[in-house]
Amino acid sequence: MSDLLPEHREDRTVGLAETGGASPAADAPETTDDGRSKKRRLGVGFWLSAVWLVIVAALTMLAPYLGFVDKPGTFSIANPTAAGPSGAHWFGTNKNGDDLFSQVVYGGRVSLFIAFAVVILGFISGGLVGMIAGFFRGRIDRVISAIIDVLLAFPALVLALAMIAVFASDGSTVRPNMPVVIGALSILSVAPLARITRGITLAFSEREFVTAARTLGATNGRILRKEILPNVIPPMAVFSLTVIAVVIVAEGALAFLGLSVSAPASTWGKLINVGRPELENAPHITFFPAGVMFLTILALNYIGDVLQSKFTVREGAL
Amino acid sequence: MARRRITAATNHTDTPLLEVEDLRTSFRTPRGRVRAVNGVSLTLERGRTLGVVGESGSGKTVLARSIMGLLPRSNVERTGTIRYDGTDISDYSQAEMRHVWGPEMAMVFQDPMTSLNPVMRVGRQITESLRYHMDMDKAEANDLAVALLTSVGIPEPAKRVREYPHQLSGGMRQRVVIAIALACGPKLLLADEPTTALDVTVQAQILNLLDAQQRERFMAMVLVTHDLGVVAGRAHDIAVMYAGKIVEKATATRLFASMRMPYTEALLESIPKLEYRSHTRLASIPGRPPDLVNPPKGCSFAPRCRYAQERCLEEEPPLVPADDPGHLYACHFPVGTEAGREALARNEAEGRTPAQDEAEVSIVQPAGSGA
Amino acid sequence: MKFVAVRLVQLVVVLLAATFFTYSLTFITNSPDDVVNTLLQIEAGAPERRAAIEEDLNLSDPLLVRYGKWLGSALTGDLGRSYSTQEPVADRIQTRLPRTLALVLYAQILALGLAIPAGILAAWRADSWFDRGLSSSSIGMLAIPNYVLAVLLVYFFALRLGWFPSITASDLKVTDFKSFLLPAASLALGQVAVYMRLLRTDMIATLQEDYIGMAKAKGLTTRSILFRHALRPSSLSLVTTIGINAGAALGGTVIIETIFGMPGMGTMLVDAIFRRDILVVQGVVAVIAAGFVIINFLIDLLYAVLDPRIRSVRSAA
Repeated sequence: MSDLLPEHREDRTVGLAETGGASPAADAPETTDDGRSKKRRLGVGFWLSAVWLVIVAALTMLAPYLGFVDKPGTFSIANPTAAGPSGAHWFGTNKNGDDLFSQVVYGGRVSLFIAFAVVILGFISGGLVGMIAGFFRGRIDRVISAIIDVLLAFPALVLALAMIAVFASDGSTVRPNMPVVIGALSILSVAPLARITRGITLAFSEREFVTAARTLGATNGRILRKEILPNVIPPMAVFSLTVIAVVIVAEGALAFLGLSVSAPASTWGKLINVGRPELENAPHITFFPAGVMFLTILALNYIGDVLQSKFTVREGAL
Repeated sequence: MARRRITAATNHTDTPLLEVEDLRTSFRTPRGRVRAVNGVSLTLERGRTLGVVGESGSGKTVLARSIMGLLPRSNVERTGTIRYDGTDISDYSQAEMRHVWGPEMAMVFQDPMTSLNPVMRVGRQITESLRYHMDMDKAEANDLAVALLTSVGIPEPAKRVREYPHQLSGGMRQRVVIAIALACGPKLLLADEPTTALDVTVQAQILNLLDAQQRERFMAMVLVTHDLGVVAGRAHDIAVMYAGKIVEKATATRLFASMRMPYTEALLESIPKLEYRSHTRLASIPGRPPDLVNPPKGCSFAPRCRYAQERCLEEEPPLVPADDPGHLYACHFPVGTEAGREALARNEAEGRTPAQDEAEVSIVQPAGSGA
Repeated sequence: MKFVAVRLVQLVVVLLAATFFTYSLTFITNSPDDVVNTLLQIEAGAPERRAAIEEDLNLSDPLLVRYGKWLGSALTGDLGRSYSTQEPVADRIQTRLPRTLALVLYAQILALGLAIPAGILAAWRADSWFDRGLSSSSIGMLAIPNYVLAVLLVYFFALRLGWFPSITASDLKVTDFKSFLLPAASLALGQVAVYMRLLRTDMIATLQEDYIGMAKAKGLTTRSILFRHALRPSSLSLVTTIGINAGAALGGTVIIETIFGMPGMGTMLVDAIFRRDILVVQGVVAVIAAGFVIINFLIDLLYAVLDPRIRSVRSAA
């Protein structure tokens, strides 16, 4: 997923060719006309994005408890045709007459769940590797970095396809399920996340409070836990926003290839894909999930970037 | 956009080539309006060199760029009149100035390392100017480029023409820069600290080169520098700038023989001389240049001047002529006059100038202590 | 020179690692028997084929040796036979590779064609309405996944307006620009944003340099200054990124080819994965990895061309 994730801001921003992007690299102009640093104010865009994300999070998490959201599998027998948006169906209905809005909400549950799972797993594994490389340096670092570089150099999607196909097949058909998809994406996220964590750890290891702790006799493990880790977590947490966006896109790509989770589970990617045959007559089936996905990615990228620039400033002041 | 060529007014020897009247350039910054050039007037004839001398921050570079018209587009304001060869070019747009830059006026920048495009061959940097302004074809331009390199003293010019800037030494690069500036035969050359970035040994060579070219081509030249030594033997007239204004102007000989402005005197004294014994303390001008956003009332040099009196803090001295022709200065208590000598004596007796508070280190040597 | 050699070694390692990894993947989860059974099933062939298949796959040898044999024949151009179609893998790749390459190439051309003028203009008029508008919209451009964009483009330009086909022909020719336009555009948009911002940043820095002021003092036109003086030194990071992108883009084509039904490497790969056609997968992975190596190497060379200072450093080293 090297090419999916933007490298640490100090490095070159890597392109997004593979699964369709979601690298922010957004750089809102840094100073306003009168020279005040825009970085200090969070701005309209930030709050709009935050509001959107809160809405999405709330809807997807509370979906089972919300009356106006149909559970998956409810058929609207009365109207088994696709219809545009209306008062009863905010996003319209799909080919089977199911409420599209509910489908998008439930699809969001899955998409976001996968994204979070991948982020958490990826950070635990990649983060650990990166921290070790960045903290101990020397030969350990060289070896780990070499491996990371090789891993990063290869197109992620192809590897993802290969992995899913291999691990999710029974006999001659490929039926991916949630664990496999999460697993494959997590494995791919290890290398780039390790690289980022390594960079941050390197920066922090140089700082004086680490040396101070060492002179007080702290063991490496203790330093890692008590000094490094608490400082690595905030920037990584900010960065994870971007990663979530990337994973949502990646999962969507897999869905387009038929390699995401199987029915009856739905994800945003799947919904978009499912709407393709009807594109000419009932474009709303594709457009609404696509729009929701787009806005979510946009919001995540924007917030992630704004927050990231604040953190980078502090590090630069070192 | 029609090309507005400079047409000569009458015959060249009558009108000065360059006339600047009350030129003011200010920059809008978050802190306020910086008046970098605050009312400068001068004239320059063909074939003469004007040296503009001052510390950094005096506005001399901005003056040169203002005359050229090479100022940034935003947050800059330039007022005043600039007449070139009789034509008023103060309101020329960038498009119109483009036909002035090169064939009429040219500039040599300070740092030859950064003035040349690192990824373009040296020859091309000369020929593109020739081909654009003088409509030459490739072969003609190339020949002329080689000739130009010879005339600035570069050995093996045919080989150098195809090389890149990083393959040349600093001195040679500056020669190339000069060649580029002279390529289209300008009548006015502005040189902004042309030797500051070079080795001492090379400095004299470059200055001599500029000198020779100027004489050969009968150009007018403005030589901007912080080093009085640079203009000493090479400028016909010298203008001393401080805080955006000209504070003294005279022919070179008169300036060194009978300067009036204390700042000029201080500049002269700060040049180390061979006759000094070793370990002689170098004289420097104490204090710092004034804030150009909020200039102090009165004479801008007063806080650092040995001769300063109460009047200097209140009233800004106007630029007035001295006894000898062409000599202007701005000082209430000029050097070499009765008033000046008295002022200095008063300050030395006091142990400080009226511009300083009790706590500050004194600018003047109290009477009785050695030099 | 040393630098180049190190890079080459690194990239060859990538090649070997990638192909080995894919090769062993299949055999990790399935025992050799399973593999043969599966293939038999796909072939719907007679049990006698079993021996032949085993022989083909060299299943009696240990993994490394098998890999070695595959690698050996691969280097001579023999990538084996596809199990589903019985065609030589190399032939299939030969037919399909040009289309994929064309897609990547057209996408980059489109992206650069838009990004370079936009980046230059944004840098020249930094902080103007144009510049700020461009910055804002690039955030949007980066947020659209290329497959979503593809669907949008198909809707508007293929279905509604009918200007371009929504599905390409199965014997797609590389020169069929009309068919390539929408797919290339889908890939290009995200790149436009990245390239444009890179170029803008570098250009803004370059335009502050003294030699630009000097070029202006020579009286050259703005166009001449921007394109002939400022562009080259500013393009270094852009070039490197193009290299990285072009390599990665090989993967992005998979989705786009699928959406538009293009008969390229991407669709072949997906197909082969579904059909457990191991040798095809191997061949494609090998070609893609080789593509990486070559592209990265070319980028290094291009770097030296663009910045003559590097040439001297290299020869001095």
